[in-house]
Amino acid sequence: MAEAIEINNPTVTRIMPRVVDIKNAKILHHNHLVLDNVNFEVRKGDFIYLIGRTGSGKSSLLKTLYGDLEFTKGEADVCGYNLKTLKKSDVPYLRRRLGIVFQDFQLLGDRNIFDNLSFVLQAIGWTDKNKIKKTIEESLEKVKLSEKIYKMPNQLSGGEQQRVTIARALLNNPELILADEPTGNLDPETTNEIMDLFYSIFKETQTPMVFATHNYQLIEQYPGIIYMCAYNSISRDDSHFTR
Amino acid sequence: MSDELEQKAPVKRKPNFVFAIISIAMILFTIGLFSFGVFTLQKQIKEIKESVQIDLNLKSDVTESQKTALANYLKKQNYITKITYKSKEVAAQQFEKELGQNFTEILGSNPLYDAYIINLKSEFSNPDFIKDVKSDFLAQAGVQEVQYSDLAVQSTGTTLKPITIGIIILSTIMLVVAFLIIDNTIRLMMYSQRFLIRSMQLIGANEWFIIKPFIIKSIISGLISAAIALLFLSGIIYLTINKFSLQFVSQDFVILLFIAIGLTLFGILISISSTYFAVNKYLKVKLDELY
Repeated sequence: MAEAIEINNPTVTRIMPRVVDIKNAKILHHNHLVLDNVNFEVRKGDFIYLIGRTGSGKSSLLKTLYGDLEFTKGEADVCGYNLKTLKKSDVPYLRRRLGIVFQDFQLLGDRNIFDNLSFVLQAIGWTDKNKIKKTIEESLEKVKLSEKIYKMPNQLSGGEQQRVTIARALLNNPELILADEPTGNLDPETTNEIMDLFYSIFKETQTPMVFATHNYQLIEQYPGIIYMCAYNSISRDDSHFTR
Repeated sequence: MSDELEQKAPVKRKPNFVFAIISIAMILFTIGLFSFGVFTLQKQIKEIKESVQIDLNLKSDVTESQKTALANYLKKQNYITKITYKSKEVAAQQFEKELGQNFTEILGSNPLYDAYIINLKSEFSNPDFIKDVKSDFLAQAGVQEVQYSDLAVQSTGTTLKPITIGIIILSTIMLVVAFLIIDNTIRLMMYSQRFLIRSMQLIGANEWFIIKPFIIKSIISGLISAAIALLFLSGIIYLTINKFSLQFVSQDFVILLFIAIGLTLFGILISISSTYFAVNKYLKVKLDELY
């Protein structure tokens, strides 16, 4: 079990710069109201859980943060991008500021791990092959998957695939990591491995992380700020704060 | 994952790409064969139309200068493809050869005329045009009469016109069907890639960065398909000419080159356009619509 860190103390994090700032917002999915009157912020050094039952709006909030759902009601700023005025053509640039980890990994199944990670770096304009290779090797080293660099995604276990996804999310030093049920498809032992990895990265880099999960056990093991999604609303729950 | 499991895990292959290439190659081959047949037929039609002769019989007292002026006049007419001068002596020899009798001796003189024999370009070889130019020819100094076979002109017009229209309609249908089949094949291939496209979007790739490799792949598949189609087409043409001795089959290098370039361009352009529109479609749709 990882130990809690001081940076998660709300009184400490309030002085850190905001990465996400949502005020009086409505989160919609296909014009259907999912969350109303959303006031949500993420600051550097925050380790945040979005908890709630399936369909409570956790994933919709995350999708809104990375520009997959349209934002129309309220005010929202993510990594300096105003979601209300965000053009479709700017969505890729917003996503490049983020590291996104998905429950279903979203690896490119037609190419090996090296090419999966190389794709991300080339997509953001990297051309130096040596630099790309070095960065990928370092990134895979962090998630302890160096020996799998030339394997295809379908040759890896679920836990390994999720570690590749974390390596991918870390590639371009994101300002914020969003993880949508990152351990939802994994067994308890692998879940702990993945969460240990997230937590160690968090302690090392102070990159703010937002986890959508319905696994309440994680909160006890890896403490953080909790936002509860229920009945079309989201509220901060400081009663679970663990030092 | 255990080493044993890793070794057993199948490495993902790319059957869709191969199937698409084969499908497109087969369609391009069919178009190529059809085009080749159409060109051969058109060549035959052109030859038949240009074989229609118009005889400009000259007056018995025509002067050399009038003949030269007439020859110059004919050379200037852009609807004429061939001009042959036949003196009445040569005409008599040919006629005697056909008859097997020396008719000039029987008649005591040669009743035939010196003549210019012309052939019209195929596009002008029709009854209405010939009627029009006949009066022009008769107006030239030294021309006694203008003769041509009404039956030949009429029959080339009435028989060949529906064939030409038929070819145009069939070609159009063929191209549309080919376009739809290739487009559908590529769309199906892209359908299987829709989640890959979605993943690329989610990790911050912009649209052009996602589309570009698919376009490059489509150019390669178009080129390979065209190469396969041309290989089979060349084989069929070779067999037709050399093994089955069908000499009427066109051996015109320019036509073959035209078909080769046309097929390659068609294959590449349709691959590019179908790929572009298919990928673009999946870039625009929401996740729920991908299922």
